[in-house]
Amino acid sequence: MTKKEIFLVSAFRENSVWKQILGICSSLAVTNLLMNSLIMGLGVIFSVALANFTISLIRNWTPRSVRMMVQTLIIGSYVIIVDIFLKANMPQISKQLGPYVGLIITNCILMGRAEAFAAKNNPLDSFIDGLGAGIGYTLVLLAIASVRELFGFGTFFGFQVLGSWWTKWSIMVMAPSAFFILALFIWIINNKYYKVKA
Amino acid sequence: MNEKSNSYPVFFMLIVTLVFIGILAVMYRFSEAKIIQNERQEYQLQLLGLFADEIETRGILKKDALLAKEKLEDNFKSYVQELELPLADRKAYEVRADSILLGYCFDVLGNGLWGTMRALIAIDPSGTRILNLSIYKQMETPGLGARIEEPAFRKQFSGRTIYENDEIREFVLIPEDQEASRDVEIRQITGATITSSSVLKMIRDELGQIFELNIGEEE
Repeated sequence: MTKKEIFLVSAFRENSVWKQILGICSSLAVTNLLMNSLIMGLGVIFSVALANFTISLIRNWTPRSVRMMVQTLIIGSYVIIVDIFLKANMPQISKQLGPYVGLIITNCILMGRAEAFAAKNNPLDSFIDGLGAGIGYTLVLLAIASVRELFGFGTFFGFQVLGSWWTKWSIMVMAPSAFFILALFIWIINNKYYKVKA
Repeated sequence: MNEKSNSYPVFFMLIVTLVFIGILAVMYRFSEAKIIQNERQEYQLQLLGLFADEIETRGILKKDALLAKEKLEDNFKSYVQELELPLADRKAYEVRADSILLGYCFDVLGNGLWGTMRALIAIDPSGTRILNLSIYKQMETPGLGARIEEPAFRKQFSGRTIYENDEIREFVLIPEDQEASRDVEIRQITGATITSSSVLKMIRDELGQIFELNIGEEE
């Protein structure tokens, strides 16, 4: 596979959220605001790309018996770096995301990419694969968040779009709406992109 | 070391752990000062912010000048003085401008839905009315419970009587889309009933404890 193909497969054809149904927890939790989703997405892109790169770099020396411990350790380290960076440089966002940044560690996408790709391929390809997986995840988050923020708050990235006449749908702010929207989203993707017949 | 030996995985894990812990330690060391500085600045901003309107209406200092980032540390020192409080982990402050007592501020804590939350409550000099309230640390759900930090929720407490006939007044929650018709009614946050009532519980329990110490009534 060429580098471009690796990226496209990882970001779209084998998208972690809509195809592999991974990382659902955070897709439901942080998507009520676009800004939170974007920062969360950037955190995941950074962590998964670099974790993939590092895991791939040491894959030939990593004993099979401890490889998952090593992967978790590496992923955890990058996530903590993101957390420290946000705390030091973007305290407001760090406060809003609260515990979710730390929870990137348990995001299945990272472990999934590490096991499925980084443990078998060279560092550069793994980096690109991670980048693709992270970007694919971020796009889904943003797609869900744009619907939820618009209907739930009447805003888009914090800018007032719908006027005061708009009755805010509080269900959109709450977690259940994310289930509906994610399901609809996957349905549309299956129909239009994969042309799956019911 | 031989890759096939039994001790190799242990050795490998040890090395990887040491390397990454090392990187994190260095990274944290470099950011530590900034993180602590951010937290302190945020705290001072929150506390002075509670009295900003009061200070401006008295013509002492404009709000912008009071809360300007460069002046924050100095302003905090000149207006705020910490008081002794015999309660663990809580703090009390006295806020004065030109020797006029503007009020007291209490740093209190309570349990939210997901974890501990901390708040600053500003009380008028007579110790009966809430001037302002700010929740500066909480772990509630973003977009739901976390909205207790937003002005729409916390501004409701401004001007409410909290201490009457030697007793703490109990606030009650009403739905978010209703207007408060009585002085004790607080509009809750939709989808965050537990968090909303936790805030009320925190105010009642903590201020109750503090008022028993008779701090607000010395003047």
